[in-house]
Amino acid sequence: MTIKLMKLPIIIFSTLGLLTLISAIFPQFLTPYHPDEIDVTALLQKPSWSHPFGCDELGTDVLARIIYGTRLELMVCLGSVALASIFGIPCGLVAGYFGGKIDWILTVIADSILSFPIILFAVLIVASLGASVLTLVGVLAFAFIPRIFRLIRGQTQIISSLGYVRSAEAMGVKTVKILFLHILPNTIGPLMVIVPQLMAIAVLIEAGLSFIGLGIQPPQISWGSLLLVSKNYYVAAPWYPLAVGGVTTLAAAVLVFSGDLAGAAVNPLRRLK
Amino acid sequence: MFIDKIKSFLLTGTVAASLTIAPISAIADTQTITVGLSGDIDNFDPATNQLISFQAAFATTIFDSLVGYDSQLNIVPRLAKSYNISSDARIFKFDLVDGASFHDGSPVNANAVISSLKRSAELGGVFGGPLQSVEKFEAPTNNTVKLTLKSSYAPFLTALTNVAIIAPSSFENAVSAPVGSGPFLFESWTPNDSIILSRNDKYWGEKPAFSRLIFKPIPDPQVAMTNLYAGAIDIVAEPSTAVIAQVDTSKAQVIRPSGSNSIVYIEMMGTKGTLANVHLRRALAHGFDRETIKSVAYGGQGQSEASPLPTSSFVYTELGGYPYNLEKAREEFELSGAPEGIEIGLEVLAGFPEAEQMGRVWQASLSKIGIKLNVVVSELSVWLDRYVSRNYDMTWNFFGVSPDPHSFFDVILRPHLSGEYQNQKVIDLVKEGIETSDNMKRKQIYAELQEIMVKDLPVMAVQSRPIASIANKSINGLELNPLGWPLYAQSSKSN
Amino acid sequence: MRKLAPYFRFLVILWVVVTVVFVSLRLTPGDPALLLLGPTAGRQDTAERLADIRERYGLNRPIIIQYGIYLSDIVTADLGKSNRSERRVSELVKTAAPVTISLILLSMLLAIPISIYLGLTAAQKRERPYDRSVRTLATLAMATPSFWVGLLLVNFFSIRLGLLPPSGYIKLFVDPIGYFSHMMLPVVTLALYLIGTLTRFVYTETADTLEQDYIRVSRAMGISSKRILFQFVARNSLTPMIIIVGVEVGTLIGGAVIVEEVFGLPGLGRLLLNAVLGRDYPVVQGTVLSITVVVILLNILAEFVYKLLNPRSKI
Repeated sequence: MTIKLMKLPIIIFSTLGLLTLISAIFPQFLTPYHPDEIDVTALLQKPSWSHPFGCDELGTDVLARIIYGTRLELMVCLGSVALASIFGIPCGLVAGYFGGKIDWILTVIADSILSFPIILFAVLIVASLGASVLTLVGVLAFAFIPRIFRLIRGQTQIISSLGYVRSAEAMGVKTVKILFLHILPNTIGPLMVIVPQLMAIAVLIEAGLSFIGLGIQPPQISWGSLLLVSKNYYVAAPWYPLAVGGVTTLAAAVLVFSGDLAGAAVNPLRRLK
Repeated sequence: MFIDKIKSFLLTGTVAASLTIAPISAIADTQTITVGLSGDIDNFDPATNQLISFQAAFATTIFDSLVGYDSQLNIVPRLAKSYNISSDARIFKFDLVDGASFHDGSPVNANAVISSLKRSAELGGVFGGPLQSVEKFEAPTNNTVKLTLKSSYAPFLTALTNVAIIAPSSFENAVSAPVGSGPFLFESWTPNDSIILSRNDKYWGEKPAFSRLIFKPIPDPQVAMTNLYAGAIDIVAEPSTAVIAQVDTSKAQVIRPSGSNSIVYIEMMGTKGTLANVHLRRALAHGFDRETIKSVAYGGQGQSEASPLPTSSFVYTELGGYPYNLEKAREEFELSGAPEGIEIGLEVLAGFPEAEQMGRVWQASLSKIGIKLNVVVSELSVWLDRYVSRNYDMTWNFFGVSPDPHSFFDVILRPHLSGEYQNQKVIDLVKEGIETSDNMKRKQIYAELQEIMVKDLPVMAVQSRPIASIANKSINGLELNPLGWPLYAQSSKSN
Repeated sequence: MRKLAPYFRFLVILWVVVTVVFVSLRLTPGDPALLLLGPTAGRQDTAERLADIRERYGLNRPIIIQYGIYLSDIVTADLGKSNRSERRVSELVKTAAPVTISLILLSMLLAIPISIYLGLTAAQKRERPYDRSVRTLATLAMATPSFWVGLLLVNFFSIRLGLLPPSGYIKLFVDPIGYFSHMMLPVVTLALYLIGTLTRFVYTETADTLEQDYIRVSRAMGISSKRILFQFVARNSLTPMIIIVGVEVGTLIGGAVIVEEVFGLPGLGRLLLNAVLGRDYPVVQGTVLSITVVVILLNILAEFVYKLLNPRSKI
């Protein structure tokens, strides 16, 4: 019974994931409208069958803009997590495996970054470098590194104390091989739990930065920049910010849920983490 | 300790209960007018703070100048009850009003005024700069100020409207504790919360009808509007164009000036030199759909003209300019020899949604003739860096042109004249413009200058910015001048 | 020596943060002197004034010297003066801190009891509709952009109903009723996120504890399930929450930046944001330093309390 129940969300989430991917790569398949098309006769038009989310202040279909915005959104989410992993995973492996001074130094650096609220850091950097996808990816990656580092370090500590790693050591297997062939694969599970959660944080931070004027700026289309513009119309055209905000919330929630699902798969007892 | 916590919980509960009985209503107090500003102000020195919002809020409240503007931008006497200008516009004599005193009690006499003017001259900038042309500051009597300029300078009187006179005792601390002689005195500033002014009961002129004027920084225009509707503030001083178009007129009134001297420009000549070829600039101008931009970005408001000067200017000249025509744009583009698919950057300051909408419309038009417009929106410090170093292809900007046309050429054009826009004719004409005091002759000079501006397009005029303040219905008598300064002192509040 | 190790660590963390802030401010574009002068800074007649400003605020000195001055100022607890308003940074922080502290403290007071109740009861009714809806709502609460919630709340409670003020701040001792009515919407906005996170946390911990043998035994012994839940399980699953709350303080301060912006509260977040935008180096450095010290101290405190309650733990 539990297996059946588990399958439904997986089907839903993979469909949503697929849709997101198509939106990012081939947005033209999902909407007949172009996101830069201006229609002076349709300014802030109400939702209708042909424009399910209505039209924006330049008469462009809002749904089309949301769909085309997925690309930057996904670039920010995936880019930051990938970049953070490139630095976080090796550091975590090294710190967890060797311990000692190097562990102490890396942990202190990670803790320093952690003690610094992400938004504050983002404000600091984005305000100086200007908002672009690249700065956002960099800032988020910087903030995510210690989170990935801590996870990998902890896992490595547990795994390296296990028998098979010990015996591999005894047999003289090279350390690099042990780290990447024996320990790393065993950290994938927990990593799959944290990655969607970090992506959800990325979505929310992108939106928050947009609100204070430091996110990706229009006319570049991301959900944050759409939220920023749409909130100017929440009296005259309330469905406009509601649609954009709703999609953002939904995306972040789905990401958190899929993290939960991954958690449940890794550890069936724990439905959440 | 723990009991305190419980108590505070209980308090929250009772607050909720009491609120349902008596909803937060408008500040019933008719003696306090609260104004929402789009940003906080941290420097109160009128000689160094050149922000438009600072001037709009305080030039007519805390401070006085020798001469000022009325709501139509006519020059009217203020601290100078009368003035006398020599026919060659070189000697300016001012008679000070009687009985005026600064907020610290010291008298506004010729010596105090002169030392304040000298301080502004030293600090320079847009406001103090013109004072640097003064050769002699003299005080023939205790109540007369005589300024002798090095050479004729026709726009001098207009320039003086921007120079606030402050008390000599406050020169050191003007940044945090300004002392002027205006109808309101500075009481306190709490960062990001409020700036409180109170009525100057010893004001030499007509005293305001209310006793406190509070400014609250509310950066988000929607939040500002919710505050206005809820009655937490009385006036939104600088609403964005989108907000003006959405005002619920059953709840609030939109107060507009008689015209707008605030003109939006595209400065087309940066040090990058991308637009060094005039044909390319003309191609961009022909690809600029004024009608659509006016209706979409500016809600159909404002005047979209080719001349960089406001239509209200006495030298304004109507010019054909570059009507939206993609055929002509393509022709000019080919003449320029620029490669197909060229990328051109447009720098825009964040916080002006209408500017970025303008960018989107322009982008769509230009893409049809093979020009890729990249609109880059940055917040102030980043934008300013590029603006001052002119490190851009082109940049959006706006400027409140004073009634004297020279201000446009002095502030907006001058940096380009010493850089990428080499034109001796223009330099000569600008010089002639300030040295001529006969208005008929000036008209001719500036007509020629406007023509050259449109022909060469170092700067392209977009249109005048619709300016307005939004006020609750209880506010009476509030007017705005065409620069967008609300004249707070003359307003009042009823129940 | 071993006893001093944590303090040494604390100092190193502080040093890293302080240095990162300094470096990221200096190595990025945006000249504070230019910002002070405004758009006309490029004109020739202002070049001299630009130099004056740089001199006055020590911006013309080599970066390494500026760094040295900055470190020695911190050691002597002198946060300096604002580049823009010329006020003392410590004074600015002191005025702004109570706002942010109120916001965070009240949000916690609101969120913690609610999350504990929801988390415990949901875990007990596992896989039933109640449990599912609590968990779904908690996740949604976590995933909603806070400024968006804030604007919706303002729209409803301030504009439609006219019940609560849409923004602003009144000091507690000046007018307690005004204080609470102004804090209500911001606190709810910020608490919503916290309720989401904490409910999920309590739920997980409780679900784990409920599977433990001693709980099964107690159940078999016929102890009422309410008593089991609120006495045994709660005690066991709530102690780790202390650590989580400590960690969340950092996130809440981040959230406060946005909530303060929505509700126009003159707190640390807005102080910092405006200082960053205006390149007011001393204020940025001072604010960040104060925030970091508080976050680190609270985390140490949380660990300490946790150890006190749970002497056998390894954390």
